[in-house]
Amino acid sequence: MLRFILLKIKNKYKLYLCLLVGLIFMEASLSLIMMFRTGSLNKLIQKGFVTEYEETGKFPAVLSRVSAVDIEAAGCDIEDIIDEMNSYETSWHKYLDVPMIDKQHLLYMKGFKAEPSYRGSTMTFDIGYMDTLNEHIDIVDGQESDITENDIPGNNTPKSDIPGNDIPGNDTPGNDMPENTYPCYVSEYTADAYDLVVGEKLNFENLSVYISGIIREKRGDYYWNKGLYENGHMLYVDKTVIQNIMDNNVTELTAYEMYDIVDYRYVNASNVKGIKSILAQFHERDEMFDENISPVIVSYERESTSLMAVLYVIALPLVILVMIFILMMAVRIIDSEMNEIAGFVSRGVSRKRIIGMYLLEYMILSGAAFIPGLLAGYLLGKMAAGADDFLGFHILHSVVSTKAYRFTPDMVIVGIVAFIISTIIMMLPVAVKSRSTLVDHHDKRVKSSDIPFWEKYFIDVFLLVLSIYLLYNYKGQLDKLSEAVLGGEGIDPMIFADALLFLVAAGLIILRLIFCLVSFIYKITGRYLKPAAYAGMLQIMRTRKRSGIVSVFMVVTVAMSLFNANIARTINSNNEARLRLDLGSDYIIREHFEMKIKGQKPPQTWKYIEPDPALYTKLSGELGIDSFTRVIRDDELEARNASKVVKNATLMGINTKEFGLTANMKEDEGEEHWYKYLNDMAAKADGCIISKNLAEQLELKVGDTFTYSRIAPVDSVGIYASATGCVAAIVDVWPGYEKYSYTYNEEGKIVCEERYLVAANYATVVNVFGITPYEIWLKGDVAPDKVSGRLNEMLEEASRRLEDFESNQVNMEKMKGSALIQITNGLFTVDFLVALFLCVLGFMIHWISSIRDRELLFGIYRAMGISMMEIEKMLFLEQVFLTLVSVGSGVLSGVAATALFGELFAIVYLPQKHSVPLRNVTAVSDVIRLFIVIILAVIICMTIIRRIVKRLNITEALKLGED
Amino acid sequence: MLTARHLTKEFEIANEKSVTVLSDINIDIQVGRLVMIKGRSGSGKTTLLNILSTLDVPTKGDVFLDDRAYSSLSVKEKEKIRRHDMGFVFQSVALVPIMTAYENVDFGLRTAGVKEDRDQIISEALESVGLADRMKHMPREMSGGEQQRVAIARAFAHRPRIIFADEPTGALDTAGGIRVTLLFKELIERYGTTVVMTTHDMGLMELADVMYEL
Repeated sequence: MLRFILLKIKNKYKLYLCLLVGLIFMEASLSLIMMFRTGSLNKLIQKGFVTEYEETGKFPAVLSRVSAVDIEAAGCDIEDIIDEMNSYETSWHKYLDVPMIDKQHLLYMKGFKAEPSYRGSTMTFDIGYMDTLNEHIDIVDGQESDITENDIPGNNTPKSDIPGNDIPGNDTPGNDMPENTYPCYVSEYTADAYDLVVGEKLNFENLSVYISGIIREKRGDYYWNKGLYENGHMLYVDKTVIQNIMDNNVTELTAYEMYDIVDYRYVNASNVKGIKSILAQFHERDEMFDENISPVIVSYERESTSLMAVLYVIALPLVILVMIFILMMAVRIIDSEMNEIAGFVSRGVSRKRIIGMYLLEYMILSGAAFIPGLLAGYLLGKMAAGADDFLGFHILHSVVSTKAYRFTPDMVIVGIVAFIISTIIMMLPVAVKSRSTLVDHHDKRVKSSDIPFWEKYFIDVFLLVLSIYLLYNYKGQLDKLSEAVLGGEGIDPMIFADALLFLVAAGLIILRLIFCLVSFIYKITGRYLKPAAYAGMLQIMRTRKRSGIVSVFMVVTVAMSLFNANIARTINSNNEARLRLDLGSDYIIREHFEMKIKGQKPPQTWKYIEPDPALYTKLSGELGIDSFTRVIRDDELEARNASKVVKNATLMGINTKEFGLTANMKEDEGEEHWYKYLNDMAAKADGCIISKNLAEQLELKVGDTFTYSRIAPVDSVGIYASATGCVAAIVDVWPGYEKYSYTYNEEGKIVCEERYLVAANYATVVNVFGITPYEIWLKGDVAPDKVSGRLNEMLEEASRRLEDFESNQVNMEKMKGSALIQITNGLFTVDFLVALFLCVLGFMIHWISSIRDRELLFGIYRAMGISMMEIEKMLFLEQVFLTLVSVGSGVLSGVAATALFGELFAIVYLPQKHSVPLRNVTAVSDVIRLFIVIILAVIICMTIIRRIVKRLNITEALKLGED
Repeated sequence: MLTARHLTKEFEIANEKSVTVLSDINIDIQVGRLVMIKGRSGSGKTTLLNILSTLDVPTKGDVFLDDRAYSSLSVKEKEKIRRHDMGFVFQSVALVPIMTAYENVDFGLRTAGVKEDRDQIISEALESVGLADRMKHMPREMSGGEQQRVAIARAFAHRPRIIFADEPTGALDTAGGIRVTLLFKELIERYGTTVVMTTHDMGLMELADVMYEL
């Protein structure tokens, strides 16, 4: 039997090769989903840790324990306390299989009074010991001491390498330091607060220490989960000093804090649940235990629901398409072997045996597709993961990282599932047709209708009505859906299914209409048609059922390709527009403003010291920045009219001309060109641009006046000044203005807060409110690294401090590298390419095998005197109607779906921070690409057909008919 | 009207060997005759018919239609002759499967360039073969004999000078075969058409005006 099967495959190798391609894509598309699933979840969780780090400035994976020490229970031995810490640490890492990067263990005693050697007033310190402290500090003054390495118990020998002997007038002790005097470090903060200097001696009740070094944390060292500043005024000593104090029956509070910093890169999609559960158990058993990993995991779980929904709904249509392709190919193969099958059945071969033969054949084929399919899935996955835009895939030089996307064992498991599914799909036509005898087969041919079943039973109309009904319902629930997505509940997958339903139904309806049109044209012109056109028209109308399946496949693939392309482009373009508006300009710099407060008790006075803005003129000149401007921003503004007060307003103090040159806003993003608003505002010193929602709240219109007030940065003052503004313009969209902000409440539910805008003239704001911190907005096509690098250098030279630096380009790259966008761009790109490939392949197979089936017919035509040219014309007519019309239907259906469903899809990707209207993007280049590919396929197909027809020998064709 | 002189046809087969199917055949066909070519299977009847109808070319010799040698005709001229002057009935029936009986005949008329009164011609043609009530039927809905009669209707509807029929009765029973042959006789009488048909049915031989044996 095996030989027979192999011979059969060999004889129809072209059909089987195409089927094999379908099977490879089946393996590839399913394994690709698994690769993306694991990769995107890993990426999501890693992004969670990074975001946590960026927002809090602390390492995002720290296990901690803070506990008071019962000295008596500890037996007054520091080693016992250290052992206790170590035993906790051991138990954590026994269960939690995540490597430790570092640990910060602090043992301290609180509230020691000391008399400094250089002055009279008593100071209060904590005395602490930190393991491996020397490795994590920079010595600001003094020099490194082995305070943490003195492990000789009861060692009273002070260090000889005490710095500070060279300080004039310094009587720092050296080798002649008296007994019971130990070296210690103090932080810069403590040294400043108490005016301590290196070498200064501090005398406690039973011992003395001298300051051997003033220290600060090493920059960027993960060790510093709790910084020196947070430890308060602490003297850092060796553990022997602590032991010494303990030996002296100290009664001060003794405690330890331990922070184990673990490598969050080892937290991934496969172990995250286990880690969460273990951490929960730690919390349950030890109320002193704490960690900051769980919140990241909770946030990950919330986002992953939505992410996975998006992944499946984008990837599954491709799987369905590949399934249809496999089914189409299997049906074609079975149809071509129907005479043999019917012959077997008629001769008494059992159905079981026929099914067994085909099962073996298809299992061989599916098996052959297994390894290449996995490989193709991996390569497609890598390519898709590197896509930083729709069709913008790069493997080697992508701006987005593809590291998270790698081969996983899940892919093999899914590969086996694909093997089973493919075999079942291929067996479907066998199961249906393996009952037919020769007589049944003939009867079926005689009784078969020309009208496809979906047209006969109006399934297309029903599906279209259903999809529009669902769409109507979803559109009525936009706000709810948006909230659900923002709340992490994920999008209803039925939205995507509905879009797919619409694509198919619209395609079928358009095809129905086109066939109606063909029939109509035939009715009117049929009488006058020449033989080629006459035969061509009849061929189109009468082979609807057979070619209809191919047409539907083409319509769906083209429509889906275009829809995917449009949605991806719409999402990318709108996301970019929103990010651009969010930030307001190419670069935003927030520099630290020193504030001087006078008076200890209210009413206090305060004043900001403005850093010299000339630095930015220099920076712009050096880097070739196009323009820059100062923008005062205050998110705690109050606006009011006679009767109403609105909080949650943002003040922007702007120089209208500079702002116009520097801010990013497209001319068509407002109702009128935004320059007009700026000009109107500039015309009056008190002119203001306000947001539409503020105008509605305070019932303001252009020309009306209102009051806006700022809150002082010193708590005790409250509102410190108010200005009167005259409404110059009312806007809904403005650079740097986010209309809505979202926060999670205590129950973890999303809460939306509406924000209002008041943009006033910079000079007026300064005049009324004085100098307050402002942002520097820069505009220019300069690489972010270059800007931030030079900016940091210049600020460091000027001893100034940068608080924040944001770049639009970096934000864009982050957005494109996010798991959601990576899935969207990558999978839509793969969907587009694979769908197009299958479409072309399906089309060519249909045509070439259709020509083979019609060799006799062409023989008859030629015998009757129809020229080769006329036969080619006939085929061209068929191609135009069936191919180009199908492609046209697909394009129409895709564009219609984009227009109708774009808004729904945007919910997932474009949180409603703005009133920026969604712009559906249909890139002409995508349509051109699509048509180029199809036209190329038509040309290749026509060339092949021409060769077949040309080689056609009339007498042989007729002989073939006889056979 | 149609003359063949010294027709020889050789087919190349494997190993550069060739087989001679026809050797030095001479035929003269007069207008308004039913000419039958008989012979056993593989004797070259279909090959001879194909050469006489311009569908194939001889290895040696030539065919003359009204003294015009086929060898001097271009492909286009041969196509024109087949369209206007000839009608075909093939052994494999060879109706266009996507066309009804009516449309198959119509297609033949369009190919021959007939523009006027096609409806009437088609009705008459199908009536004359006894299929007036099956005009709208597709070939798959008709029996082999009915299909053969549609093919005959298509072959003569445009009033060709000569009809070539390759084993037109091959798939029919004896009565059916006789009916088809009598139909040809009727056409010859009514329209003066010449019919050249191949057959191996001995029962039909006596209906022939001229008989050639291969």
